[in-house]
Amino acid sequence: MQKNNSSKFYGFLIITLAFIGLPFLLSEYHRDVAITLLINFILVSSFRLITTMGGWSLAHIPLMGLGAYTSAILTRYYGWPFWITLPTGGAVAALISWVMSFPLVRIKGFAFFIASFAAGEAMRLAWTRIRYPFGGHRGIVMIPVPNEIIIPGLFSINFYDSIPYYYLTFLITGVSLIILYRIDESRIGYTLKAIEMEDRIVNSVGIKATQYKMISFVIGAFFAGIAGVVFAHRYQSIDPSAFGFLTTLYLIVWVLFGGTKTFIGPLLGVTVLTIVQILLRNLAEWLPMVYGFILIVTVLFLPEGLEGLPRKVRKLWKLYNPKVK
Amino acid sequence: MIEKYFLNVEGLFKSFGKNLVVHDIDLKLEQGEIRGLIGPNGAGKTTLFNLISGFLTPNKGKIVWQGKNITGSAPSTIVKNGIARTFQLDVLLKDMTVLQNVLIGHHLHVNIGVIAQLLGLGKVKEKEKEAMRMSLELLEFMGLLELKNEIAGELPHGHQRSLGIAIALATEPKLLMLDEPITGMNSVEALNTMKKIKCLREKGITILIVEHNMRAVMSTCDKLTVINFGQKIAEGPPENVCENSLVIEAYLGSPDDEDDLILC
Repeated sequence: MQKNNSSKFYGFLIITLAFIGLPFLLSEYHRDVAITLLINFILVSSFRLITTMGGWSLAHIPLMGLGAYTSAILTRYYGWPFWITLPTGGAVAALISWVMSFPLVRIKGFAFFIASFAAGEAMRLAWTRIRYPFGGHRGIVMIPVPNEIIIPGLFSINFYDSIPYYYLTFLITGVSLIILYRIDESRIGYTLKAIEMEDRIVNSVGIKATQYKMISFVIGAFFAGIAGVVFAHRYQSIDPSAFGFLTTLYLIVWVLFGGTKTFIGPLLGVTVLTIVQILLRNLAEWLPMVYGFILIVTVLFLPEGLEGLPRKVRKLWKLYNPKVK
Repeated sequence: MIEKYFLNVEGLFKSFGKNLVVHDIDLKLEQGEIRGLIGPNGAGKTTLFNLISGFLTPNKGKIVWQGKNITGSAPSTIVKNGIARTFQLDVLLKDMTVLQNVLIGHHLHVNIGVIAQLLGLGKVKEKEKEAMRMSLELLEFMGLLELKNEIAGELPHGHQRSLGIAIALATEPKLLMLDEPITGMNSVEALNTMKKIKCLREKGITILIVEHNMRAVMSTCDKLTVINFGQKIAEGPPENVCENSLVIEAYLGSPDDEDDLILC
């Protein structure tokens, strides 16, 4: 147990250091990919929190968009600083998801897919249809980057550059992941898993399952909103198509490919698939097909995702080396 | 009027479609007794359990618990009031360890609001520690302490049953309803479990058991209630109930249960 913990800690340390050093090793293009990857870390981890209670929400990406739109409108038209719109974007996504959760947590399985999809699409349609302040199809452009941090006489940080923005994203992602990890390891995390496993037991020991489902949905949406804000201020323009079903599909493939049993699974999934995406940079139009193929292969051969791979390999190893015990 | 009974079920009706499963059942429990609920398969025993524990809502009738009407309350409310139950099948958190199962059972003890838990406010850590200590005690009592890190779904049947009881006990109930607690156990395990049930009564927990094993029921229960086709056909001390012609008829009516009659 002790050994396991310390190896976990070193693993965590190495990965953190790697991410701190990363931008200096990368080209400008790859730095952008790294920023997107960090944003996607928040997305998949918050999405996993929702899946632990058994619901694969199709409204997650639109809720991310809600955070993005909130921050874009507030900074662009009302001059709010990024540092305030960042939590505000998360809070608005959380608030709307709280309203959505009243019907959503009371339905299960297929109906949950459809209902969450409809709720997300309704939001997206509103952005498309309403010219002010959402900007219709064209969305919002010229979203300001986060305000410069100036300490007179010492230094100033300008977030137009990719390296400062990378570290900003790194910080936000780090804090988000730590919070999400702590929730996962807490009684709340266990309770959510228990709800998915056997709701009769959960009911019989006095747990209000719907309350817990709501909480996971709302917290998940909060972090989706945060991811949306970070996304909007990097690309400085957003439009409804960025938060469409294709992105939702990518999210699902990342998470399925990584596996949802462990905290690290979805992070692993999105990392590997991002690398695949970089390798297939010249075949961008084919990407949806590649993703579809990966999805099928995952469901068929790796139902537990990447995180289930070591167990599978061990099993095969035993099969071919029956003498080794 | 002061309620005389610990649990008072009056004129309970429940139907599924056209099937009347529970038909005008009265059940009055006194504090500290062990009551057996018996009857042939499909007599409506489990439905009655589900009605009392709030998993089903009766069509008619009322359930009064310590003078408080709890008819139609949610299961989580009922267990908060002190009525815990186990399940007939091996309903457990199968992918979790034995210890985690019992820790989840301590929800009511730790429960200080989700927000407080998120922020780590107040006595969260202290309460968790207490829950851990109590869980280990409970596992020791049920004889599962050595198995605490095993995955619940991989345990043998008998142990799964014991774990089910441990989860229910974790809610610190005043009334414990056991649905076939010793089915699937060998005779030694069954004997042990029945001993433990008596021990729980000594601790002041009132017990209601549904069980097919007549010998176990006879030797443990103070009083038996027999139901058939959703109706109560007899009630009283085990010896008397056993001689009741209606009961004998009910059991002879289904050849599967002949063994039970011989045991009786």
